[in-house]
Amino acid sequence: MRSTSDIIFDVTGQTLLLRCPLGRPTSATFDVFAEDVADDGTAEFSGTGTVDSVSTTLLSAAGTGQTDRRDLTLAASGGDSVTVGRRYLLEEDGRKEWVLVVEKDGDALVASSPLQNAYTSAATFKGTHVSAVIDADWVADSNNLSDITTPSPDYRMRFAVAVNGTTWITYLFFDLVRGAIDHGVTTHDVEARFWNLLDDMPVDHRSDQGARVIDAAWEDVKSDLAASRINDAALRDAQLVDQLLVKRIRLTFAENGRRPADMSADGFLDYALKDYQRFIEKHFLVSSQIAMAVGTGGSVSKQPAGSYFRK
Amino acid sequence: MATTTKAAIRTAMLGVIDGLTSSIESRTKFIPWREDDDIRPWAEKNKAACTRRASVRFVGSTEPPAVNDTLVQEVRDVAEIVICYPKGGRFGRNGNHDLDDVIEVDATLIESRIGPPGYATFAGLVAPCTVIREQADEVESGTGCVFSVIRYRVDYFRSLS
Repeated sequence: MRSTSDIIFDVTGQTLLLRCPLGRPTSATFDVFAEDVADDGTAEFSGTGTVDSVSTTLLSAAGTGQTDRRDLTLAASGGDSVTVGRRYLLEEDGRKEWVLVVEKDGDALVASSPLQNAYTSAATFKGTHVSAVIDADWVADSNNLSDITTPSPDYRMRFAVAVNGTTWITYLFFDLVRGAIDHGVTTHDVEARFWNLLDDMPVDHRSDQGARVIDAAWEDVKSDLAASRINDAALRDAQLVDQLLVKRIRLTFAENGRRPADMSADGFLDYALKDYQRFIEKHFLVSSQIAMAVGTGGSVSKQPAGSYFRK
Repeated sequence: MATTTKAAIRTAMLGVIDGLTSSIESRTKFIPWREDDDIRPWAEKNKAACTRRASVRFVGSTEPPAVNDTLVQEVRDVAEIVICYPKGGRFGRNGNHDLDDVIEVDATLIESRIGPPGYATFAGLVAPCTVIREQADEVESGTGCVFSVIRYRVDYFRSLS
């Protein structure tokens, strides 16, 4: 899945990563435009993308019929450049699937879930990502900082990717921000409120204690906030952000049927959804419009007609 | 006369199961169930987490002692091993057939280590006890899960002190 990225101001060496769904690119170029500049207008900066160097074969058979369908071993030194957490294209004779690598020991890899096909040592294993480096001068120019009062990204990176003999045009989007709010949640924070979650983690998520579940829920939270015109980069309360995420993670598990003892799946899903939505409404969407007393003298501080982010 | 207890036998069985590596989906290990609830309803609520979750409990009644004196008595119990599996295509494209194959391979593995074929190794883990399979293995079908149920008759001596 693609995400709108937050590029951090005055930090050099940052990259945007594009996964090419069509296969392994041979080359790629990119141009960055401000949101109100056309594709044939003046670019903020341009460059040549770097194609993932992984392009190898399997050392031995993998997938259906093997001792564990999550295991695959690459030909000698093929694993050197493999990045854990990245997806690679495994292909042989028309059979193909994306492999999300979750563990690596030399050339021995573990996929996030069982492979669905049978592969021989002739199968190819390729990276299809293109990385684009953010210009060092541009990222340090404060005039380029994004307006984070809206969730719409201020910049787009236009890629021209040569793949399978054709040129594929696509975009990634990003903001330039002072700092990314991000989150600080681990499964332990959820388990403190939703017991035994670590022990009850789905089998494909045990090796990282559900980190991918959390990351996916974080993407969902950002999208839900964007629906209310809130840019997550503008948030300035880490506790409430993390608590919101905890509730979203719990909702994710409820959506997959997990629930406490003595609660039905439907009942708990309804509860978790309402609890999550009410938390957003109470903390992120609505503020009091009634004048509130301040200090001990009885005077009031009049509030504006509504909060900045209001329904 | 060497004596033992249900708890020691149960712990030994769970220890053996915990250390098993199946020849199918070998990365998905057997995990002893924490026994804070019955394993079957828990598995139905946690289908994605239930694969190879294992429970060992002595169920039913203990038969009157066959041999008795003032210090020890021979008792006969039934240990029930339950292994959980999710329904669906988790174990391959052939769906239920792949699931059936996994259950068979796992049950055979357990039999080879705990049942009569595994006596030589299992007997070394606890004081002498005889583990015999008198009942057929069962595969119980739940709503979202399947339960492989293996029951062993266990004969052993317990202390009366």
